[in-house]
Amino acid sequence: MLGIALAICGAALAVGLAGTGSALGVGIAGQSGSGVVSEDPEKFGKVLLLEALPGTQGIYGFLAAIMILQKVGLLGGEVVQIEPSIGWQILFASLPIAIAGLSSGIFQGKVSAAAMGIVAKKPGESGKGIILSAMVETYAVLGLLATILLLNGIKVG
Amino acid sequence: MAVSPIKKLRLIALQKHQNKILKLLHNLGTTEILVSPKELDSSDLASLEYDFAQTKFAVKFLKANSTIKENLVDKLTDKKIEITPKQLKKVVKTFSYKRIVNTLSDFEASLNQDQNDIKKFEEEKQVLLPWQNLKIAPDKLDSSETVSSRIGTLTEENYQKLLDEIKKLSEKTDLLKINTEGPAIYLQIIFQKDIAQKINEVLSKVNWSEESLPCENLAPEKGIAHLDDQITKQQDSIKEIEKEIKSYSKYLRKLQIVSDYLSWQLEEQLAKQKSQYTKETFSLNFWIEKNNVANLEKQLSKITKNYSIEELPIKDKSKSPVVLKNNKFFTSFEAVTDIYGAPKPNEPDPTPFLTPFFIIFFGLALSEAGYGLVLMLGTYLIMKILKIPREDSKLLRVLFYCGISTFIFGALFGSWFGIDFSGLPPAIANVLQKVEVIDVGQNPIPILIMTMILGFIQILTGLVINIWWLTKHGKAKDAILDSGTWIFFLLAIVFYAITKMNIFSEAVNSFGPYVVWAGVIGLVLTQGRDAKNVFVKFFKGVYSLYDLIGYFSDVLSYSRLLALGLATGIIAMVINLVAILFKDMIPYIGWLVAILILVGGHTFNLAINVLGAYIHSGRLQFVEFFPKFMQGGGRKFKPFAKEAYFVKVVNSK
Repeated sequence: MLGIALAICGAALAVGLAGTGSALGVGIAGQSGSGVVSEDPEKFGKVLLLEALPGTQGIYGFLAAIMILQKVGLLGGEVVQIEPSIGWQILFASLPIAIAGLSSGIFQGKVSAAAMGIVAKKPGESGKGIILSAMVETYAVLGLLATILLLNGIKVG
Repeated sequence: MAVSPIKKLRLIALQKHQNKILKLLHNLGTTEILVSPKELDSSDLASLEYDFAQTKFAVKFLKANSTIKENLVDKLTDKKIEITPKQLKKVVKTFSYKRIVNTLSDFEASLNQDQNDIKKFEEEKQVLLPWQNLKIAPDKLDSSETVSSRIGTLTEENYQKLLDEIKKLSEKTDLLKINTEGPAIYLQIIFQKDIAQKINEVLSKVNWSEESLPCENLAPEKGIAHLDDQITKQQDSIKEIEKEIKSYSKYLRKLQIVSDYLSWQLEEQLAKQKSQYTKETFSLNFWIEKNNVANLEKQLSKITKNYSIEELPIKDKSKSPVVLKNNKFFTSFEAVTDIYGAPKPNEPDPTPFLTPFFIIFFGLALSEAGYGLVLMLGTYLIMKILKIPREDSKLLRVLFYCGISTFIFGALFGSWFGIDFSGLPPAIANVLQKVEVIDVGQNPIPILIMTMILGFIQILTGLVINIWWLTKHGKAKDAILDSGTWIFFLLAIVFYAITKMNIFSEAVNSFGPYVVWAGVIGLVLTQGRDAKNVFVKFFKGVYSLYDLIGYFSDVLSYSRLLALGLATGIIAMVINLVAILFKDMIPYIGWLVAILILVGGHTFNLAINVLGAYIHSGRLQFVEFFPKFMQGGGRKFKPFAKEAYFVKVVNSK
């Protein structure tokens, strides 16, 4: 049973930590975005786009969790009874996206919040703000990639 | 397919033709006028600027208050009023916009006045409300000859103190409790006038806070009724005004036309100020694309034969404005280049080079056949149904082409809306199975390697572009020594890696290390050539090897395409899973909930992943590809043209 518990812990960390990163990031970006919208409601679309960017970490975490659940058969079908050592492996494999998601979500939110200034002052150039914000996301993407590859390598049952 | 050649010209003509010529330049919209050294004096423009600002305000005000509802499609596509030059002239001549604008600004003033009044009355009412039980008008408090009274508030504690103090006085004093609200007690104190002095002292001892009420001549209860009356009156007045404003809605179209006309007038006046004058002539300096010069001269000669155009020397070539010129297909992808900004005038236009890579990368990052189909059809239908003109549909076109590659990659990877083939009718499943080349979810490594190979190809392409461009501009030596050596070194490393896999014969394999060493030596010898000292040359050369890490991380960066592609497919699968879960869980209407989840979930997934695919494919161009052959930071050509906010002038309707 310990094996399954450890795998669930891995899934929980992936969703929880990456989700926390996104929640903080989207929150920070949303606060500055509201200021821009209060001045000029027509910029809502651009503001929403920037605010949504730090939201992807949460999705990546969720994705990793789904892969883990699928691996151990918790998503319908029969639950695979795995060794504790396999459980540990799955738990550690979830860490790249969990940690990278947490930190990159927060900092991407900060960059997005700063980029709201571009939307306010030079709306024609908001694409540059989006790219600046997406630079931070790179590390969440790499974290996800590492998690996926690691999970793929772990043999269950 | 490049940065269009640009010229700096000076036009000299007679002043009497100036208005006509400026109008012509404005209509052509192919020139960018340079500011003359003397400072602009905006005082002559003040009245024109005022008129324009007023009209702009009137349009905004009328739009906010009018009954006219803009069609959603028109609003999305920012549809303009189409008008011929003749009609425009007629509107400007016959429409007395100043009168309308003034009336509207009067309306706004009285609306504001009424709203302020209402606010004031409401505040006064709030002051009066606790005093409702006071039976005397505030200005009658001190009207009797022998008795006086005052009103004010106290806290409970001070109230008790006051009671004590009054007891100590004579019995000629009366304290009435009017109201208690929260911590405050509302009091009226009545006393004989001859002890007014003593009362004063007592009151200041207990921190009496004197109250002065609005509507002095009415008892508070009546005062409140009076204020309510006033408020209703003002509200009626507001309704009346709003009705009147609505009757002005019919002028909105004309006001918009005049507003644009005035903004054009303003621009022409500004251009006039940018000219330099002699007694009879004026001269104007401007940038113009080489291709447009002939047409400009042709049009000018229709106005007058008395003009001269001379070409001015361009002192700093890297500072002239940039126009990108591409064919129909590549023009769309300027949308990607524009995010980064224009290249310098002496750099190549990256648009045609990035196009194939962008399409492939986007397809890999989304890699979902169903979504590709939706993207293709969606953008195609939007362009056809809304009839969006070509110059405004760059982004849609890019998404259309990317939709095609998404579809192809999705089909090759066997991803169709995340559907499991085993649940499909065998006939369809067989076809899809046959198209599928690899299941990325089960076997991601080959695709990971493929993305990095693509990245390697793009980086080499960037270096080759650099060689081509520098050679074309007579810097072949630098091109070969810098980018050339790097290409050799990078290829050598790849060759060495392949020899380790034992594909070639022993003889070929033995070359591997030597080729790499040749590359290292080449770099060490060439990269320090700017330095004078031999040792500095050597160390600079050795240090340049450090750039290899940069190339290495550039190539690794392309692995994001795999992660993004996997994400789309897995989320699509999860959405299907959740939908089926709900269908089985809820009786009778389960299928309805399932459909809602499917539609909503897939739309969300599509939106978020298209955004991700777009910005990450873009980033690979800007961060990994561009620096190999350009720096960017060019200034875009800003033509002196009739910018339309509301109106589009067409020649015939």
